[in-house]
Amino acid sequence: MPSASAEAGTGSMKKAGWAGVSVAALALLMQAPMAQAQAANGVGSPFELTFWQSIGSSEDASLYEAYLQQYPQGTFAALARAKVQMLRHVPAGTQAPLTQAATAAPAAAQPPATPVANPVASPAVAAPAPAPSASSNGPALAMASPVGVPGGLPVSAAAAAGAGATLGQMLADLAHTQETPAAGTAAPATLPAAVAPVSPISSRYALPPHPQMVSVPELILPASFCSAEDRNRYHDTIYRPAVDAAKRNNDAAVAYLKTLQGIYDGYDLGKDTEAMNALAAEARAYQADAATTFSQQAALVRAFDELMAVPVAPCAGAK
Amino acid sequence: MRGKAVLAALGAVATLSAQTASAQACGADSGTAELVRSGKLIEFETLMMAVSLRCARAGVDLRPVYEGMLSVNAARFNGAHEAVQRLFGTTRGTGYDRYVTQVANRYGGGATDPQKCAMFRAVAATLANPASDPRALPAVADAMIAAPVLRDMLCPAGR
Repeated sequence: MPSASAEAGTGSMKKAGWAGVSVAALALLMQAPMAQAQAANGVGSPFELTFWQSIGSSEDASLYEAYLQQYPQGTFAALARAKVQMLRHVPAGTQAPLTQAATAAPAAAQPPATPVANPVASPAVAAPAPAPSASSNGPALAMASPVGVPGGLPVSAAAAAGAGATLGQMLADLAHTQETPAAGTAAPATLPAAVAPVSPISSRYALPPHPQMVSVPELILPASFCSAEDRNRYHDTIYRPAVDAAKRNNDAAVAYLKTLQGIYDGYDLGKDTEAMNALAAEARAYQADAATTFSQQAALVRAFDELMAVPVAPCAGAK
Repeated sequence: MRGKAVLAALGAVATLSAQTASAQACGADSGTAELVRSGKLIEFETLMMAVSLRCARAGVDLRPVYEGMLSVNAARFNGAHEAVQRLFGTTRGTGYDRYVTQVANRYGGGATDPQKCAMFRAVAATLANPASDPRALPAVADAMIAAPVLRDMLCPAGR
């Protein structure tokens, strides 16, 4: 194993060029000139890299602790400590209540039914999702699987290069998340983004505005129509606009809940339980409004039969 | 259609080859390459500064390790700034300020969360270790800053 690592550190990595060099690859580059000096404590040695590669993306904290015991000042010590902290302080089942809440959503969390559309599931979190503890690094640290070599590839030039590329890619991805979205190179005319309050941390609870509801006219059926044409006219000018307004309101309410669901799903991917709970609370609070729009539309749809049942009686003066 | 696709692919390959050659030509001299490396260090420092501020607001204070990273690597960061200042000072007037603003804007509006903060803290802690290998900093900067602003300035498209 050591000889294979040494080979990786001298030949292939140099061929790979500087552009693709990452921390792990750098560790290999360092080996040739520094191997003798570092052999005493093992830091940066082929053995350390081999050890690190062997634990790869493991979720076994004891492996990272073993690495730290062997290389307390190792190249990957900080990452290993973060990984151990994550694995030790965030039990595997921490997210389970959230999943259970989502799958066992009570009826109250269901969206308003609509006569014309399939039900839309609102953010299904009747019970608050557990917020991560302050000391927790959170499950997303899994992205930090430092040198992602599935199964622990044997140490070879290719494997070492691949491992380095994985860590380098992880760092590149991490840095990319911190770039201003759609940032241009031109200096802004207003306050520089560097000091603008644009961090999603401060706005993650920002909710979409409630949909604007239109007025639904009250439907008062006459005792009788003078003619069938009068009924048709009533249908076209009074009943149909009322139904359309009620349907527009209900559609808007359903769309709002869909929007909340979409945002909720996005935060679910990031395991942002605080934001998820805020969205779920908003969805629950909006249930009453959504139920009202549904009731109005449903009542108007039912009123069609009553409209058709209104008798036609010749009116005085009618020809 | 298949023939057209092949021709299009060949055209794309030729274009890429030309671009690669152009990029190599622009960064071929050691002076430009060194400036690009300095630009990466400056951007990495700015990135970490913005992250440390955002993370502090998110409840993860990595400023101590960030400051430690700056302290341990002060000579290199200062050297990078001086090199770029010399570039702008002699050829572009007040361009250094504009450059620094562009870099700050690039990372001023990023998104973070406690998990990412923990990762950045691990990176900073690694580089804040006085015993860390001196080549770790440029390697991390190289990995995290793939396309530095300064390279776009020094190597505009077509050169």
